[in-house]
Amino acid sequence: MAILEVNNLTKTYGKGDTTVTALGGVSFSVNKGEFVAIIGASGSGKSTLMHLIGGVDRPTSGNVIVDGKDIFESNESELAIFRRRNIGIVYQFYNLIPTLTTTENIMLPYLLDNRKPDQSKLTSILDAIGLANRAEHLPNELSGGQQQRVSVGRALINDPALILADEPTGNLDSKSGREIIDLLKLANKQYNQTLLIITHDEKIALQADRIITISDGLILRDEEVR
Amino acid sequence: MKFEKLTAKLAYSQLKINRRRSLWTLFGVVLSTAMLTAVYGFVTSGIAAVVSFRDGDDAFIETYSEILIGVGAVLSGIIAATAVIVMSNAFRISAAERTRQFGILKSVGATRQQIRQTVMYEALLLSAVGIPVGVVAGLLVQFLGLQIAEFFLAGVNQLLGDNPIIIPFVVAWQAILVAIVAAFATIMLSAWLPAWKGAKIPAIAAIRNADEVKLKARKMCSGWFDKTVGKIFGFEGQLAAKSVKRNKRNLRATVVSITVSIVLFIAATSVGGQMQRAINLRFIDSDINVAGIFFSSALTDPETGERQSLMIDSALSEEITSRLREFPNTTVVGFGREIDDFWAIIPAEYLTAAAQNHFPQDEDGDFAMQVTLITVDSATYAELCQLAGVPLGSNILVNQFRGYDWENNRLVEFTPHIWNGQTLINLREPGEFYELPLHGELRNLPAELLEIAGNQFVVIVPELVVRDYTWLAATEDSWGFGGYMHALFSETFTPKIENWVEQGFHADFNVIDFATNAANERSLVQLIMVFVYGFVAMLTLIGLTNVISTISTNVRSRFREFAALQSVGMTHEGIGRMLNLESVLCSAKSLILGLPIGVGVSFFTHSTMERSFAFEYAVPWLAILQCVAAVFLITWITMRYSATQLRGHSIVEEVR
Ligand SMILES: Nc1ncnc2c1ncn2[C@@H]1O[C@H](COP(=O)(O)OP(=O)(O)OP(=O)(O)O)[C@@H](O)[C@H]1O
Ligand SMILES: [Mg+2]
Repeated sequence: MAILEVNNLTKTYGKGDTTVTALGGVSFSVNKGEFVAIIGASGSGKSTLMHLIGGVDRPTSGNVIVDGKDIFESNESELAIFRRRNIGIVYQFYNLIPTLTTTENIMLPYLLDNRKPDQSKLTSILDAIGLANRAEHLPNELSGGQQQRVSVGRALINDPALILADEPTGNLDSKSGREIIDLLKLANKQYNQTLLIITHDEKIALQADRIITISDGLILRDEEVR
Repeated sequence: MKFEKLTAKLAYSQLKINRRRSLWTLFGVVLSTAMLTAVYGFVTSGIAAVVSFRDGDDAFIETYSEILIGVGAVLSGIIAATAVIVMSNAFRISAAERTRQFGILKSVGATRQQIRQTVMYEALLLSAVGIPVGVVAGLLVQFLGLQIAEFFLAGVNQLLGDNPIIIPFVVAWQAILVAIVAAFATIMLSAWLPAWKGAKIPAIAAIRNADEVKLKARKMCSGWFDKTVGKIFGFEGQLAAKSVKRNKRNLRATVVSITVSIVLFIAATSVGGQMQRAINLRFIDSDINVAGIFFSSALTDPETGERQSLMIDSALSEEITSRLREFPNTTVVGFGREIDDFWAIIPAEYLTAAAQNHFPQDEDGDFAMQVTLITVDSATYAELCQLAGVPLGSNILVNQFRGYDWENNRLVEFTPHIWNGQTLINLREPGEFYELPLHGELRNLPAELLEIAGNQFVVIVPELVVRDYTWLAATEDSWGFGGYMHALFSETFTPKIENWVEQGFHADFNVIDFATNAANERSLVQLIMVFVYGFVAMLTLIGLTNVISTISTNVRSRFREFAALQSVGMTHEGIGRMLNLESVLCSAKSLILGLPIGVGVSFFTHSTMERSFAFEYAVPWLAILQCVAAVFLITWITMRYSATQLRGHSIVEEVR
């Protein structure tokens, strides 16, 4: 069953002579529990694609269907609520709220929902990311790798159907990078969560079930690795 | 502090992180609330004073209550407007700082409403602390202000005797409620726009900007301004000019609030001076310092249908005049006038060009003029006859006019008549003629009688029975003479008046002590000025909180820029100089805007006052000078302040 369907997605920036086509009509679908790596040269449109799938940006045309629902049919608030309940996003720069502690940053999707935090879930995530003893620290008291683990924890807290990661290891040394990928893979294997990773790192891409190669806003190759 | 709600928590941590700026914003909230509370408190006290002053006179109470409420509304409007300008700037800066944070929140699923909430909670938290403190401070200001008012009113109250003006310290919960609501609305309004704008930024834009120091690409070409400043102050000057331009938005609130203060200060000082001069002009025209007036209205007797007034004949007026002259070191003139519709039709050839210009002309080219007959006390009359060169018993034409030209808004003085020894034909009613031979003319009245030259056609006659008689005195002891005059009038007139009023007619007398009145009016003006200056000072302080919080944000958010400058070899002193120049440029801008507007306002109030009191406009140089000095003092203080901000930081740390 396809959890994600991308249909003829295009995104252009600017008008007239200065128009930049970041995505020129991209279609593919991803099944539940799949681990997909997206690779391509710098400027090829990977981040643009991911922002669209995450509903952070709106496309010029085409649609994205998550769990049978066309996400761009909803208004901005509905989209935000959809995002906080169904999608986990990890960026290259950890993007934590500097004034919130590790726990609070992880719980952010819950807190935005005004839901009572699920304590056992939180404990298991803190254990998984290995930051149980840093629970009450602020981001600037953590190392880069630790901060990125917090943002992975944040992406996993809601058991999202879809986890999107845009170069999650781009800013880390190889050991920290490996830890992050292991975390994401664990979520993918153990909880059958769908995982999309954008990466420049061939070693990471080869761990995926499937590799989509993007070039100049179009899908160049889409191949099953195993 | 612990917050259940995420948005409240985010707001609280934002306040805590920028503790200095938050404190200044809080100070602004406290000041605005205090001012609003004080203004409404003064209105409440003022109404209570009006009620106790004229208990039972509902029309009087209503009129003055309405005036007080109106003034209160205008003042609170000015306060609220300044507060919104200043505080919305603080909230805007705070929201702009968090653009990235808003982006992250959005990407993990925060709605616009939740983003707005984090900004609004900031305002809510500041209100929760600032408004109660402000209300208490406002009540304190009200209390102190009333003590000051009591001090200034002491003189007036001495004059008023047994019905003094007492302004009580009243605390009305309604007034406090209005102040709280107004302050709260002001703060919420200030936060609303930044909240709205912050929430509208697309998540994608916020995320993309994430790790770059974003400097929106704006046209930063070197204009003539930077170049000129650069020529005078060197490279630092040029950088300062550029950064003032770049931070235009942040500095705009500063410029606007300082400008408002400048305008208010100059206008207030100038209007105060104009009021003082108007008082001087009204009271200090000659040596006359006490006036006594007897006056009886002409009312129609319902039985006979005739006009009835209580009249004063020459015998009575002479007696009063001579008794008034018994007071030591005092000169007295008395004059009565008959103003009951005597008209004369004057052909144009009897009038000078100036008079023809000033008075309205009939269709057939003649001038219908109201004739005023004047009788003066016998000693003065003898003097006037001598001046005019006519024997006693003559009718003397007053050939001098001194009045106001409403069309051109100025005082005019001219000789109206062409004197040829004419006989005046008086006309009381159509068909009813009287003849009045004129024996001589007077072109220059003595100063104490100048007032009568304000009538259209004035003739001094030897004897007349009048219903309106005035005594003017120049005395060394105005207070004592006023009392003496009042006692004499009561003794002479009161029995007559009582009898007369019982019959349903009207008559009254009045003693005016110009010297004391002028002193009292002057102290009232001073009282008003004290309050106006207090108001301007508080408003300036609100503006100042903004200046300082903007500067501290500015300096903090520019550490990177400073670091970059230092790394290419700019000295610490150079950066200090650049910051100082920025402050100077800002102040100069406020002055360039504020001074002309302030002078304009003062010119405008002068031209409205000129209708009643003719005096030349004077540019308020002293106020302008004070403004320049004050603005540069403020600048200097803020410069010191930003210097302390710089010192606390090792700038090179930032380049890492
Ligand atoms: N806001 C924008 N305005 C104009 N052009 C844009 C904008 N955002 C992205 N682009 C352009 O769209 C294209 C795709 O950008 P995108 O960020 O998706 O690349 P990417 O594949 O993620 O590159 P990288 O590997 O360097 O992250 C680029 O050419 C970029 O210049
Ligand atoms: Mg990218």
